[in-house]
Amino acid sequence: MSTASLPLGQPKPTRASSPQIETFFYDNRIVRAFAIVTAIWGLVGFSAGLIIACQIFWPELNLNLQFTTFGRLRPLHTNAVIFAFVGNGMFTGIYYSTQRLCKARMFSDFLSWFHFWGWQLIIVAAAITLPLGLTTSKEYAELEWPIDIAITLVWVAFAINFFGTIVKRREKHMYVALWFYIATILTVAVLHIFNSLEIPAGWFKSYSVYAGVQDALVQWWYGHNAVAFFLTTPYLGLMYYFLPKAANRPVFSYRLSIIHFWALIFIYIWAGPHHLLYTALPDWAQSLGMVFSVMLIAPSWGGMLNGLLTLRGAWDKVRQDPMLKFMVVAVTAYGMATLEGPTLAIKSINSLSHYTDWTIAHVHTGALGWNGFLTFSLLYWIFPRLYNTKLWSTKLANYHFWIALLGMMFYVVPIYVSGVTQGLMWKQFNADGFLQYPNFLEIVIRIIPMHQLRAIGGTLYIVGAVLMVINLYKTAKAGVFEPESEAQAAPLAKAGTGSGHGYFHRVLEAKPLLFTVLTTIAILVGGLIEIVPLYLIKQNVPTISSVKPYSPLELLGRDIYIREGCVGCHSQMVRPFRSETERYGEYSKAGEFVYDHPFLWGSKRTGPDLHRVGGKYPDAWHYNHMDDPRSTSPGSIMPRYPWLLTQTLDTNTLPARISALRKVGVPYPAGFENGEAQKELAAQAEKITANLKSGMVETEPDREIIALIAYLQRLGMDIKSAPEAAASLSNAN
Amino acid sequence: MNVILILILVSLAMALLFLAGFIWAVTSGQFDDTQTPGMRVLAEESRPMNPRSDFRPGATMSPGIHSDLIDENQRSETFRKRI
Amino acid sequence: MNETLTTVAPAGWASLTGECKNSATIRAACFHCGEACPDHSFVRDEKSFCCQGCLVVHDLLSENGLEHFYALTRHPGVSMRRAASLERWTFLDEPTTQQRLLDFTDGIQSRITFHIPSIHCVACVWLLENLFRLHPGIGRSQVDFPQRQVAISFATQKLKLSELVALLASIGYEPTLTFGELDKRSTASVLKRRWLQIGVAGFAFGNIMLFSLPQYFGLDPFSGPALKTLFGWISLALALPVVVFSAADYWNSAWVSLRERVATLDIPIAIGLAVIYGQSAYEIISRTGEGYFDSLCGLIFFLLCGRAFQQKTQERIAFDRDYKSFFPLSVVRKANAESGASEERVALSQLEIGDRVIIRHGEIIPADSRLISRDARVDYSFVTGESEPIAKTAGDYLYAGGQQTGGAIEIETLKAVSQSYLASLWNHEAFQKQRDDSLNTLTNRYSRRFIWIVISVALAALGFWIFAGEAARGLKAFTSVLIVACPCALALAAPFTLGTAQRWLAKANVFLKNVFVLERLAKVDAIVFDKTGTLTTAGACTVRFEGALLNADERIGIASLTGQSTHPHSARIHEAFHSSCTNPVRNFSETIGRGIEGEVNGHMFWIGSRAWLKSRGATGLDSEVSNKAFRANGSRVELAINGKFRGSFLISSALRAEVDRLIRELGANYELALLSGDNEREREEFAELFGSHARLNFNQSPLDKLGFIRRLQDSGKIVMMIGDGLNDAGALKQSDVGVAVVEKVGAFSPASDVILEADRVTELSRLLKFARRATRIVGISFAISSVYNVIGIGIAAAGWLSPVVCAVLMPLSSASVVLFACGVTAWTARRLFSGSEIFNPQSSRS
Repeated sequence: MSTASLPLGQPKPTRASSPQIETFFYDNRIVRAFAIVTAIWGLVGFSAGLIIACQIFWPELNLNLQFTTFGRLRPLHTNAVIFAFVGNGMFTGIYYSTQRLCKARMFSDFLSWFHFWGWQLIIVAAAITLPLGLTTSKEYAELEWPIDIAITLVWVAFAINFFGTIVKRREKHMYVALWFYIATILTVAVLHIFNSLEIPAGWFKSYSVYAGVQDALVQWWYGHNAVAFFLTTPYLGLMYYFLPKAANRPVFSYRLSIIHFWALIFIYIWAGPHHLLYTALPDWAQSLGMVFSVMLIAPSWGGMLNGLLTLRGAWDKVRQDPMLKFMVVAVTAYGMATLEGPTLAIKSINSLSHYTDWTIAHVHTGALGWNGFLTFSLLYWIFPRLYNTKLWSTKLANYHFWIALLGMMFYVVPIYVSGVTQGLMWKQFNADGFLQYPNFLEIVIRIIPMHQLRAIGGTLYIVGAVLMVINLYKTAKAGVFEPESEAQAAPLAKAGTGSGHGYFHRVLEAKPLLFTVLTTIAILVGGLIEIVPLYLIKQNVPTISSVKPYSPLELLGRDIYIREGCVGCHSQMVRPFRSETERYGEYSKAGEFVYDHPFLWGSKRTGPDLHRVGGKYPDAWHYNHMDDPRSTSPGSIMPRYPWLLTQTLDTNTLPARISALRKVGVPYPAGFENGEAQKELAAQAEKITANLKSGMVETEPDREIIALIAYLQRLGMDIKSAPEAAASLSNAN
Repeated sequence: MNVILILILVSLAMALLFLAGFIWAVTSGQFDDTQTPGMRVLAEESRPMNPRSDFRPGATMSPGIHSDLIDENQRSETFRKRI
Repeated sequence: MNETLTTVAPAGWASLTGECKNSATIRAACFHCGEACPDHSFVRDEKSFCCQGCLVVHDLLSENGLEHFYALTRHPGVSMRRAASLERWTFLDEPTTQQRLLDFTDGIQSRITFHIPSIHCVACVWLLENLFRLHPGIGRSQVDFPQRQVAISFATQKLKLSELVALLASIGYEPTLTFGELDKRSTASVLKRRWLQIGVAGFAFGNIMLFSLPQYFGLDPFSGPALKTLFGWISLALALPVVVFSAADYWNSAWVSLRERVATLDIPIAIGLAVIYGQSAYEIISRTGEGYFDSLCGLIFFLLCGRAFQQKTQERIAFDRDYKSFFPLSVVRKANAESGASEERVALSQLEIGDRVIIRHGEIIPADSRLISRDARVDYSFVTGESEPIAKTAGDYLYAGGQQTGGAIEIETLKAVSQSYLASLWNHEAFQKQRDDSLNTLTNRYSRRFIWIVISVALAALGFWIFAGEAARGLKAFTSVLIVACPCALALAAPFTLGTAQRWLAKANVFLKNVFVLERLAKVDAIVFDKTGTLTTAGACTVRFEGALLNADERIGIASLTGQSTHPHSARIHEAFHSSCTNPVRNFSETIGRGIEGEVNGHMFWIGSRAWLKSRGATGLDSEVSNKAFRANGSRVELAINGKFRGSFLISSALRAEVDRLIRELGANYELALLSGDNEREREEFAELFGSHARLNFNQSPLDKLGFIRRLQDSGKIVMMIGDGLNDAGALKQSDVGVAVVEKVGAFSPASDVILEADRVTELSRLLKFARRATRIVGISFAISSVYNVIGIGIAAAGWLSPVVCAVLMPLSSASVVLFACGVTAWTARRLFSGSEIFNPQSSRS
């Protein structure tokens, strides 16, 4: 009964209804492949993290090279850890558990390997393009549009493979882990598609279709749900499969896992605004985000309690088995992070924690604790089984556990301290009503020791990971790899054995599941491709009359700002607090960002907010500061950008960029890019070079630094130059 | 703020998709027995397969969908009546 | 393998996959089942087993590659020490029984669901789902752990049903075959529908809340009016399925009760829902407001959850009752060969298929069985209602519930005893007592009026607020009054209290026909006693024969004749002769309360009261011997052989222990009377016992007793009659509460309302006190519920309560009243009966 190639959506012809037992083989080869790359990319991601952690207090480590500055390595670290380490770890667990839960081999080996090689290719492409500065600057979605398309293709292949396995499963009941995987696949697909809607302006340059506030909301709708559906739901699925297996205990309450899954899924997709509290986002949306985040505690803690209580009566196992130790700390860290998240989402606390290191500590409690430790326990559990042998050294695994735990502590605790220190010092007023610490640099210097402690934590974490890789390698060497493991099961009887026909049974069962899923995605993508442009052209964000699109020179300067990853350390959003208006100037209005494709509000203030920096310093100051920040502000930890002074500005990309921006709604006059723009650019460049000459700086007008200075001097000037327009708007708001 | 309209419509579409999934799950009897699945997971067992000469496991990147079913009668006659 | 394992409550998971049996015994634990191995234990490659059975199962599993079974949990197996005889499942292969057992069959493949109590851990689940490795004929098998069931599909040609059951039994998982029991599958679709309704309501409630929050946070003009209407329309659309589908049950039952003009709680709720939805839809469509869809869906969601919670608790309590359905009967079983004793009295629940049982005159046939001894005359009046007994010959099929009249017969049971079927016989409507003032009808009448009160209060509140100018608040008050009112506490209080009371009394071996007997028990003010068998104990009495010495075959004749009847006197005489050999008795007949006659190897024997013998024309009754015996105390039974008076038996009956204490206690607050069929002789003894004002009448025929009770009832008394249920069945039926005292005898008297085991008679006063307490508890729960309603409706009418809060309060109130009722009843029962040895732990019910 060989299955000829299976046309999509066609249910497999079942044989006569005699009780037939099928023998089939699980594919362990794909699982091994993913497991190995998980360990490797883990090391790569962690070391990238360690490098940028050291660069933050030791600027020389930027090596003054264009490709190794903090701005460009930070996205490399985030993408490597999230999509490479956690992504591959998740796929290892999914490919291993889905086959055993469905009692069927993966739907098609070709798609499995297409998914594997495709995903590694994407990671390598990211590792190349990000250091080159080819980024969209949207956090966790920095990859440029060709790679985005590749991600979509690979993800659809993975979806077809996964749902195919479910359709041909031999176990009627779909274990809760499978439902978590389904939620992950469907939701990540939609999130990725919506957040990567961008108009290309060159092979590795594109502009987001959304602008300013709208781009911010879509980005953080994606940002939060990427954390939710890429870092949490699949890992909850892994927990529900691997924790019971390791503890040899059935899950504490299977009914609770069903309830908390559906509660999570029914209302989850609506999160996001809690990353934009007290920004230019409408107030009601902020409050809605806050309420929603607090509601999320219940389903998240449902998962944690279910996991921890599964170990009732098996705690003695936790003492001996390192795998269980990792799993327990992972689930506990998940509980802490999912309680800290909603707390941070409360507006009053967010006003202190936003843009500070506290957010980083929250992220790393979840990442190092939940994702990291669970992936380690997964690998320690899977390698001995794949290689049919015992773990090479349990003692070494225990060492890894304690070192990694210490590493996590050394990372998270100092960063909590530095986060709170930043938040308080930014807001501190002295007795007579002036800022206690007006100079931002003073605060940066104050928290350097905490960052140094964090680097130690990071080192310990990597040392642990190295021990793991050695342990796993030795285990692999000791054992014999088992490419296929045999299993037997009876097929799901398609013939109506009268197993109860429920309410909508006849309607839904007729159409195979695969077919409905594909059509729904098609409708979603197709339908909304038309709706999106329609809505975006008709902006109804209240425009401020004085806000104009960027001049060509400023536009190229902005692209350099994006290329160098300045958004990684500088925010462009002054919040409506007295401490910030005192330090930076008028708070940012939604109307100022209407032409910002993509928005550059940023999420971290390692350096000061730049939204009102226009006109604050003379051009020469910027020139010298960019060349060597420590020359103008001693003690600064900002990397040096000497190549900006020497590299010539590439103006022939200007026409493509202006026409792309016009497509997404920026009102450049027609034909502006055929010569008109170049003349205006040259004029503005001459003016700036003249300014620099008067400030004793000799340079050529075609240098990149000129464009950057043009952009920096323009930031926030639209409001400043027309104070009465701003005043009228503020009361309307 | 029109993008909120899009986000709402997308979120609602996703939520309705999951509601349809819920309805399918309930009607197809996924929740008839909410205790045994927790135990069945533990009971999995895949015996180490002794490499068979006649059977070439799917080579990496082998084109075509590899058949995973072994004909039933290959399975040795196991049951010898002992009662 | 009839060792019935107590089913493991799933609470302690640790015991499930960890140590199945603590093998801390000094001797090595059996590798298969963990029990201690005797020294000459069986060994297979250094693994020791406790018995041959375990060893065989281990070999069977390891041969078929199922060793993983032992890897999953330590000692997972079921002990095979008492291996069952395997050949007795052949009867499963007849098509008729198969047809009743199989879930599905199409000739080639069939599916059957077995109930296997010995499933207790993960290894069992795994083994039962890998049966296909044991036999090629078996296909998919799916275990449902909480129900302890496994659904197996198998190829009918390759494997017969009996072989399948034999295979299961051989590995220690013997299924219990239940016939005709209503299985729970039918409720699966109801359960699914409930999951769906709650799911849809929860989904809509969560999402609508997110769409209505912006209104609360002030949707600023900056986002444009488009969003306001969008959110409104989305909420309207999402609320539609909830109101139509999730709340469907409320609409249906409201419509049904309206059509039949019976007021139930669902009417006000349905009105409330309709009003909220209508008003909100109007506000959205006319853009004059944002509607109350979030509270509407929240309301329905909490109502559904409340109802689900209630149904679950009721199911749990009901489950308790079915499991221990109480039927006091015990049966005489002809013990199987090796245990030596010829007959042993055994409780119904221990009866096995294929056992040989002796049924005497007046006893009922406990289960469908085959007649072995010669002919029998079976009276099916309880089952079919027609009273003419049917003659049956050897080998005929006898249905359960028939009553044997005439001599003792021997039957072989073919089916398991179904206690609930027998219990239903007892509640046959032919014996129902038509009383309409029972608490149940009281609650129905009261709740009907309650509904109209609620609706009128709601309308009044609405009118008041509209008049006071706050229409919105009026509407809110109107709907919250409708929702918050909850008569279900009233409807539930009585059945739950009395149900719990009935269950606790059953634990004390006091069995009530139904719940409402307790009510009448509480109202009793006059008690009538029967003497023989009730006040006097049969056990301690002596039997003396006055007359010429009986020769051998006369003694056998008497023994076998008296063995046929269950009357206390004949039972005593039969025991007195304690001769094991009895001859068959031909044309045996018993006239109730008078005497028995029958022919044993040629001689005609008459045993009965003097008057009856005289009426039969026996000679020599007035001879000197007979009237000398007349003066000795105790009751006398005359014996005549072949029409000639032969002698008389003197049965001296001693009073039951503590009867005097009982009479004194009851005498305080009840009017007592004694009716006895015996002669006057013990009058003065009882007179001094009963005290002066009690009425004592002797030589009462069943009709006189009936007349006496009717006269008492006409004088306005609620009469309770206590008798042995045989010769005063009519009196028991006539009395308000008929208590039958059962001396571990198979007799079954449907006329009685209460069946009391003989040695419990002295607990009667406690029983009456408990009955009164139970009805008082019902009264208290009525009070609590009405207080709740008054306060709830008051606040709601004032418009302070929002409908969502009401939706939470309402199920909470009914749940609390129910828990209060059951809790306090159980507590009183334990306190009242704790002292007495009634709650002996090893009560016969396993």
